[in-house]
Amino acid sequence: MKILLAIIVMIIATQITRFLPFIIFKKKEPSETLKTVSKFIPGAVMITLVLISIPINMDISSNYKIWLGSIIVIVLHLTFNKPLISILGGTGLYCLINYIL
Amino acid sequence: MFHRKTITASLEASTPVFFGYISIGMVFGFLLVKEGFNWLLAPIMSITIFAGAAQYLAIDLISNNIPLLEIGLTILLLNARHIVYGLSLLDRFKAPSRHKGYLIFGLTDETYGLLTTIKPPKGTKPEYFDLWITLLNQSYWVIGSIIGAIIGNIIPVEIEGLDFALTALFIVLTIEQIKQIKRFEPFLYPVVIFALLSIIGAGSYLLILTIVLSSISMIFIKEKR
Repeated sequence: MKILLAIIVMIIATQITRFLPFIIFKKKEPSETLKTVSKFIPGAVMITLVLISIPINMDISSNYKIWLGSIIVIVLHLTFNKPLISILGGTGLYCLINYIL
Repeated sequence: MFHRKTITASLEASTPVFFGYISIGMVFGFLLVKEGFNWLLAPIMSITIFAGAAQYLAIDLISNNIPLLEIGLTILLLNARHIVYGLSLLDRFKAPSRHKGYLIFGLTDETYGLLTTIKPPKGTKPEYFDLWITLLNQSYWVIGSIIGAIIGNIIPVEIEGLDFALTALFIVLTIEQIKQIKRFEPFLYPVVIFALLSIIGAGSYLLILTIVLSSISMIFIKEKR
């Protein structure tokens, strides 16, 4: 029962964050500044998610594998320009690096 | 809705998320079962909450008996980045439709990434393209979490490095955004802010603070004419 209540709370908390902007700007138009800013925000958020998912540490030896994996993904993507190859190839090689080293 | 070209195009566009969601969905289902929860909670949570990071955190919060109010606040902060997503999709979701509510409900990091990066290809129905992307993404997530929960119930296996698929996905989406925006500031500012916050020691608020401050910093970028 307690678990189900916790899940309901999480559903509400999550959906508040998703529906809020659509409710606020249902009638009125967002300002020009807000529109311009929102064009740049996706890129800013994406790079933040990359940074967050890479554990950055001053001690390079402890997370060089994840850096190596990231470089592989970038090289694969710039070479083939196919998201599938970049993600699958990158993850596969990263697992291999983890297994070997 | 069942327009063949639209379905094919959205299947193709969502393939990277397929691999990302199946693998991180599996890790979620796996961890949930390993913490001693009923495997049915995996599909239930993936269908009703549908927020990756929040569901991972949920395992921790519930198993540590954290009070409901605190759970709600934590999830609210963790997911506050969705507010920013919604703002940049106001135009795209402008047209009233029966499935608009579902599009908003299913606005995860990855769905948002696809919708803002990939335009509906020629010959497809744009209003259903977005719907299919969201539907497919959620089904990958649900299927992944069920597979993970089942594996966790049957065999004790280690998934070493599989969750890197998520990082790889974000890297690819970032490169696509760089190609599209053709500006360096939206990418430089968050890196600087992230670095500063890391040095100060923002701890568990690092994600939300970086996103909020980066979004504010975008005001200082002048649009080229």
